[in-house]
Amino acid sequence: MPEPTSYHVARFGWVKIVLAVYVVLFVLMLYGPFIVMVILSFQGEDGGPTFPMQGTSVFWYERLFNPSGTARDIGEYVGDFGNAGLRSLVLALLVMCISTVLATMAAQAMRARFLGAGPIFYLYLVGIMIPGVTVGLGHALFWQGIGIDKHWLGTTLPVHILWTFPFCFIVMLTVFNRFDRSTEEAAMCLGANSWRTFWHITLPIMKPGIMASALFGFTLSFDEFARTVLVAGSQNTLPLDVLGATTIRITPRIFAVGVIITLISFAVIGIFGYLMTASRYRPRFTGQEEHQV
Amino acid sequence: MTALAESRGVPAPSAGMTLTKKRARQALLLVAAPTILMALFCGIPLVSVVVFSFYKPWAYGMKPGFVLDNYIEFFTTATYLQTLGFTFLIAIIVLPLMVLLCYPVAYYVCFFVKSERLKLYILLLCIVPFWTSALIRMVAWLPLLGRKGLINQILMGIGIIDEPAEILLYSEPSMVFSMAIIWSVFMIGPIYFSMAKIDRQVIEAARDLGASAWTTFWKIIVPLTKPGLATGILFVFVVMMGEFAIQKFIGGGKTTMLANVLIQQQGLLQWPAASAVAVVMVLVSIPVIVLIFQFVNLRREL
Repeated sequence: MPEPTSYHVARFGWVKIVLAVYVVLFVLMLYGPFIVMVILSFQGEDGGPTFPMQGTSVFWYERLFNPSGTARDIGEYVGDFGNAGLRSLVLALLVMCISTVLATMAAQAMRARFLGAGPIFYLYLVGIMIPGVTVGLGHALFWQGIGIDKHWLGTTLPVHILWTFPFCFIVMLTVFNRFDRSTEEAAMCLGANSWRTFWHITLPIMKPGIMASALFGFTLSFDEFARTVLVAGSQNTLPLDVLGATTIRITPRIFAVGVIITLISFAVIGIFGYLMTASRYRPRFTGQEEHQV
Repeated sequence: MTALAESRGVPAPSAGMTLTKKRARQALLLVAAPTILMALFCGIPLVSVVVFSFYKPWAYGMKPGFVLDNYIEFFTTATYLQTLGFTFLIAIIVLPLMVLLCYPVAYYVCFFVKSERLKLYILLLCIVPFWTSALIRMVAWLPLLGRKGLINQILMGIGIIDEPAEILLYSEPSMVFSMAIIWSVFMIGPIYFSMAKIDRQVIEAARDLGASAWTTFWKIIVPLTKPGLATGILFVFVVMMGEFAIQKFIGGGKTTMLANVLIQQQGLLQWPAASAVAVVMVLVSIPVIVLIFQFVNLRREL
């Protein structure tokens, strides 16, 4: 008996082949710039940000970590990629924690029926509905109006949370909507109050969802520039330094930055992947825990 | 059950109503912090741009006031109106193009790939480029599409064209194309999500009742993925309205969209004018967003 999946197009074997070829082409298109980035980051010293390669070198990586180390002035944007990277990392981690906690609270609340749940749901999504530059401009003008200097953390954090929170919230809501309520009800029946039920039952089961939401928060914040550009002030985050590097003269150094950003992202995803598999909920029915409390 | 709860010293909920009320009260407590913060973070920029858009334009900065100069300036300058029109033109081209490009990918992964693990790997493959810097991915199109770019070199090498094709870079088609690729993850995700939720028995039933694969596709699968399509279109439209970098790198700055005008005015310290553009951007987005919400009840879909 054919599988239900193949059943639907059993007579159209060629559709499958055409689609398979298309998906391969699509992935190639997706990875075209990615591959170019990796290759050109090893461009020779005399080469530019285009093909052909003028030999291979790690010159552009050296320039990245030691911009003043080379005497030759190439006329490129100086930048401060190391410190910008650190700032972006701190910002992204804070944004990740705050928006995940807020999203967990909001999604947990949304499971109950209460007055105003509908409008509040849409309010949460407004953050991604307002165009990025508008958010940036509005916040920048507000701080300017009340006379507070723009700062890469202080004034940027709200803008980032407005952008990441809706995504984290959607992820958490999706997970909660597929959540089996019976385990919680069992805990309540056994006398746990709602806080203990949440802490000992809901949260452990939700852990993979929370991780996914945190990962979303981190990556969206780490790469954000359209909102950040007008509120960050004089010290740049990493995407802003990259943006700056494209304004004067593009050199292969920008591709070296790209490779490093990719490696950081992969490291973060690796950590999350590990934590997600490690934290998968394993019920322990030993019957001992309750007596200890 | 109630007896058990009471025996542990917990007052049993007397009736269903009180429990619901209690839950609602807890929910309100939980929802307070995110709601206040989001209301502030959304409210601040919107109120600011509205207020400043009525300020008097000034050579360096602005003067408080309540004038319509900035809006009059916007709606009487041909280039601004063209930009407004162009922004919508690009949206009208990019959105259907993205649906055409992304739907088959989601369809293939959902219906033709059998192993769950392989499904996950292909989806991850589509998401990985999204985890690298979006800006650098835009810049990385230049060595591919430029006059001396790889694609032109290959095309000339195999003799399809004699001179480098100019249209590959710094043109509207190249801009549309790269937007579609760069944001594809926003489209594939929601489409796949709603496709995976389709009950396979519905498809089988249609086939058993004699529907052809084509009919099944149009009458069953497409209508059931409408929420995913609407969500994807919503995401892409919103990201597109606020984007200014692709126009600069791939469009070559020749063709600008509303977001570019805003950045340009801001760079010239013309904040009232920039605010007016921001207000126009929000106002023209609202009908589109409302229209999209006619096709999807996001709250029920999740």
